Amino acid sequence: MSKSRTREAIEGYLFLLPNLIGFLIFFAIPLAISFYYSFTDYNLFNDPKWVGLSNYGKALGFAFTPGSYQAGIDAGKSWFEAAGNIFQPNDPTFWTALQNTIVYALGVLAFSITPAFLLAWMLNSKLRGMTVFRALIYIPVVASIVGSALVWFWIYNSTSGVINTVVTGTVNGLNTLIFNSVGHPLVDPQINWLTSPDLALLSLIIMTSWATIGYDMVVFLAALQGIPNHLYEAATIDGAGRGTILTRIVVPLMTPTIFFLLITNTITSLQIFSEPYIMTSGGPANSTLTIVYYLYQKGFQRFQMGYGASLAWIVFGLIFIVTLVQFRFSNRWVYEE
Amino acid sequence: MFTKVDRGFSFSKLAFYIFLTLVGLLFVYPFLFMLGASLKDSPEIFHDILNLFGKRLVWENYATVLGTVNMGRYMLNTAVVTILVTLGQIATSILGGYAFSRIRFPGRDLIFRIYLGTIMIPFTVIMVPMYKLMLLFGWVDKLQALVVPWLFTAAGTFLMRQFFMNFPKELEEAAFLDGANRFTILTQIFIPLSGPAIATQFTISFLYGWNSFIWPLVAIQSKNNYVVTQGLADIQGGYHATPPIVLAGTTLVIIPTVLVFLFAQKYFVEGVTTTGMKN
Repeated sequence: MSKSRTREAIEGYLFLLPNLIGFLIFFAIPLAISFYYSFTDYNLFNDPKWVGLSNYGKALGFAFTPGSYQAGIDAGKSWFEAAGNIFQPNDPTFWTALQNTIVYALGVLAFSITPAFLLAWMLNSKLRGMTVFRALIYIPVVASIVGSALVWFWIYNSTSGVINTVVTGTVNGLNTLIFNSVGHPLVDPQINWLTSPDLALLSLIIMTSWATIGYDMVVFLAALQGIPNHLYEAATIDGAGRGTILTRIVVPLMTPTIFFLLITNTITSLQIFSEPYIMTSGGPANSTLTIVYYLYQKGFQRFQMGYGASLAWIVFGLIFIVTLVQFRFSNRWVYEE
Repeated sequence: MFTKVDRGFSFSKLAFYIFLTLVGLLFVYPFLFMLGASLKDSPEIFHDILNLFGKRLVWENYATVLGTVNMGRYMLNTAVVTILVTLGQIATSILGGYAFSRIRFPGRDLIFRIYLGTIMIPFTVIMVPMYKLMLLFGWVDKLQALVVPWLFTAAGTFLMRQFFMNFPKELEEAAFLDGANRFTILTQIFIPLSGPAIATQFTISFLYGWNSFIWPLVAIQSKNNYVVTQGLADIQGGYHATPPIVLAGTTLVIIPTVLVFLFAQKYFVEGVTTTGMKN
């Protein structure tokens, strides 16, 4: 190597050094240690004890108990319920959290991508004031999610929150107008948004979607602005209406963007923590316990650090698999130029 | 939807604006509710929840939340953490991005590829050993824990590298001939031209610093060192805080990011689209 080349290499590493130190000490090394911890029993105060795969076995494994089928039948259960007892998960709470997290992620995808696209399509109009609406819809994205969750906590309040007050008002109004005279007044539902195990997860999904739509919309808008005007003009000359242009031209051109949003939204949703922590504490009856929240409980409230680390790697595995599957199937529907 | 510039009046346009206004309200209403309720008397918020503002604006709620509830202290902590994290991330990203884009050294492309590969790994994966590391350094319950591990960002380094890649070679060649060294070239030529990229990175770092929650929750225990998100979670659970007080605290936490967003919208949007779409 020539002298100037050596000098260049040294300078290169000097410029990279602050970055590289951060990367090694606060990312690469913890990453390796985290992987090691996930195979140990570790409570932070004693040395980690190697336990092989048993953390993963505890989370993902099932106990095979054929005897419990007969026991279930004897206890008067249906054959279906009794058969479900044959495989007992080692850690049922983990499976509850996993299921909640997956439902959460799918729910946010369902409630955010389509509305975000439609809004972006509308705001891509060449009319005045579009940037104002874009800004309004984006505000929940920059606002602290902890703060927003606190606000929604009062909006969802079942006895006197905003939504139920509106519902009560509407019910009373309709009763005075119509139903009292018919003799069948409507009953005020008093919806338990956050305190009913059947509804709480949905309520959180709605709140998270509200905070996600702005992000998705801005990504869609950037993509829509990349569609050249002559495509619209050519289609209009050929007699295509707004609906045809939307479904035949715009949506196919948006598939790479939709694909990107599916991946980023899924990755974010699989790590949800703040919303259940603030609004429901994971309850009622664990119905909003997410997997990162469960990790937090195990690792930092009960100091089962080894188990916590294995849960973290399961989250990562889940993200990895979901991303891989989405890539694998993308060529079937994503349009590429 | 309306693809042609058209300044005239039509009923479809009127309906379009009315619809958008309603949608806009849906996204902003929770914040208006927050602001109004933060200025109400405690029982009043429930008696008259649909009236945005109460009979009298109770500014004392803000005095209470800043003083008695200690939110002022939490805001100061968070501001210090956010400023240091933001400045640090911008500095290391510029240096690293410059090395990756403009200097040839062995292993460069390999290191860069490793960086890129790690962007996808969520922080929760390293949270447990990170806590152990903080114990070793004696930083548990200290603001260092919220600053030092966050002074570097792989995504930010990537952003700066991509930006520098667009600069033509001639830009630095003349300076080299004049005998300038790389550091001078970076600070005198590259950085002055990188305003937009730096602003974009600023928005990303700033939002992270101000809004982060799970890591402070783990790393900080004593109330004197709380950041704002922790403070909010704490007053929410605290028996002494009434809803207007909690919402006054929430308003104080949300307003700074919204204000910065409104003034620097362009760069927030840039941050979303560049970090997202290109990798």
